[in-house]
Amino acid sequence: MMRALIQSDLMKVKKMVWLMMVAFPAGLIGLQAVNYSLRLDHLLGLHDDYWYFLLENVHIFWPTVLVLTLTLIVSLFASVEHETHTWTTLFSLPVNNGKIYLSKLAIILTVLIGSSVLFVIFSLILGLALGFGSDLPLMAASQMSLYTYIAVLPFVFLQFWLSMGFTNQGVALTTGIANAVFIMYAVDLPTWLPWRWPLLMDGITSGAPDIFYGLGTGAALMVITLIHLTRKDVAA
Amino acid sequence: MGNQTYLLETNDLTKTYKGTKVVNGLSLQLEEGEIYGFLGPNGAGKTTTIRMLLGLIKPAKGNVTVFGKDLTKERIAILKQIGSLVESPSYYPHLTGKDNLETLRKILQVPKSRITEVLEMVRLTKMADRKVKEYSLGMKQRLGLAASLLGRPKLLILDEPTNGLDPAGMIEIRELIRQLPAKYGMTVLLSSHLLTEIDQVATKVGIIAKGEMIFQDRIEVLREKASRKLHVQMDDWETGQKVLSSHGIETARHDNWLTMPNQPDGKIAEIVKELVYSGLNIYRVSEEIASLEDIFLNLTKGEETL
Repeated sequence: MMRALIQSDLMKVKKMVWLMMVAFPAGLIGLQAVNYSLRLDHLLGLHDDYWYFLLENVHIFWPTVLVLTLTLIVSLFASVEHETHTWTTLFSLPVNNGKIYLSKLAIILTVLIGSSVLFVIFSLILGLALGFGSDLPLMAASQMSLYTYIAVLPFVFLQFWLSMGFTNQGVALTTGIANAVFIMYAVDLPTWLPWRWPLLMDGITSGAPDIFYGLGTGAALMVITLIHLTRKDVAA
Repeated sequence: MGNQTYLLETNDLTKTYKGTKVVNGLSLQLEEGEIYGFLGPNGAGKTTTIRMLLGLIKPAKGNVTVFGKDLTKERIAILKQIGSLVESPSYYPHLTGKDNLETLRKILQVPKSRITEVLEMVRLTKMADRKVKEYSLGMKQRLGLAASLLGRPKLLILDEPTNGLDPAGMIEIRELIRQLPAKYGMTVLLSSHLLTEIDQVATKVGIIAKGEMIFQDRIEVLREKASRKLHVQMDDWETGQKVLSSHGIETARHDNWLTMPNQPDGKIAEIVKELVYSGLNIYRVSEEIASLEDIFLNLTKGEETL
């Protein structure tokens, strides 16, 4: 049944989702490409390990961009149903209500993985283009991308709850965009605040303990969100 | 009543929104093969009731039994055999009509050929490959109906299915609905705020007003209420009443009007003749036709519509 639901959901996905999955990481790497091309000598002088320094640089804005991406993607998935009042039809089908949400969640998480993988690929391409050599930092790049992904999970579930639970996407979008912006200034926050976790302040390749916070908080939020969404009355 | 098994039965169904009882103690019984017309003015609680029948919202009190199963316990098993169209038809405008049905077909797990069948049934085959955003309201409504038929349901729940259709479309859909019980063994629950709509297809009627069921019986019983009456105005009603009762006709009086059930033409001529021979002056003889619409309005009298 999950497979049928996912296939059904995939049919409804708007092209915009795929565009955003590619465009956001591409845009961010594009900005770094401009940054590097303008002041290459200066940047190369700041750190001995060109590759590692490049990854640190591209990562600076990645948490913000990723939260922005997930906010918009989750909202798109929700508005496909909200705008057309299809929740009623969906929940009148002989399927467990939770599975209807889980199917959407599975696709959203996969799209975000896709975006994260593309981010790694684009980063490596930039490094190669800058002539950093063929000794690709695959491990470090994957760690950086994966840890960020895990650390933003609480935001995924928060947005999922806001977008799916309320017809008006204004609240969800405002919250998501505010969070995305706030992350940029979260450097000095105490370690227990979720905005700080995706910044990977202990280094982009040493995720702990922030990613464990992210994983734990994410799992807790997911359970709460799904319980609330499946128990509430289906909106008109 | 008690030991009879209904296809769908609700018991004391109540839904409260912010302290107001939107649906109040509703008991609804639906037998197999019936077309049940669920009638009520706007805001009477029809859609809320239907949402409870589908388990979309939870009743504050009471229970719903479908196919002899408790809705709260065996919701998914029950929904497998229900097709529904609630309020405005829902569709994905960026997909074609066929793809819209395909998203549901995948979940219902019926063969692909069923899509062609239901499109044929609602006469939408020609438009099947167009995007739904190009559809007219009537076409969307048909698509919604097609979607509700997709899973070969035993029970079809349609909330205002002819909303937004032009007269020709209404007749067509009505015809389709009328055939469903005999042709496909379906039982239909059909809601509407228009009596004429229900009158022409339903075998049983339930009328709801302010969340309460105020009438539930076969449509013929409702039609009987619409029987005609004969009024005769005369100078001396007392003599008139005696004359008529000696002929076995009971009358009611209002001023100098006598009211009686409608009579065949010959009988009316006889009545008038008798009254004249008794020396009475007949001023007026008139007939009152209460339409079903009047009865509906009378039954729901004083209910403000929303």
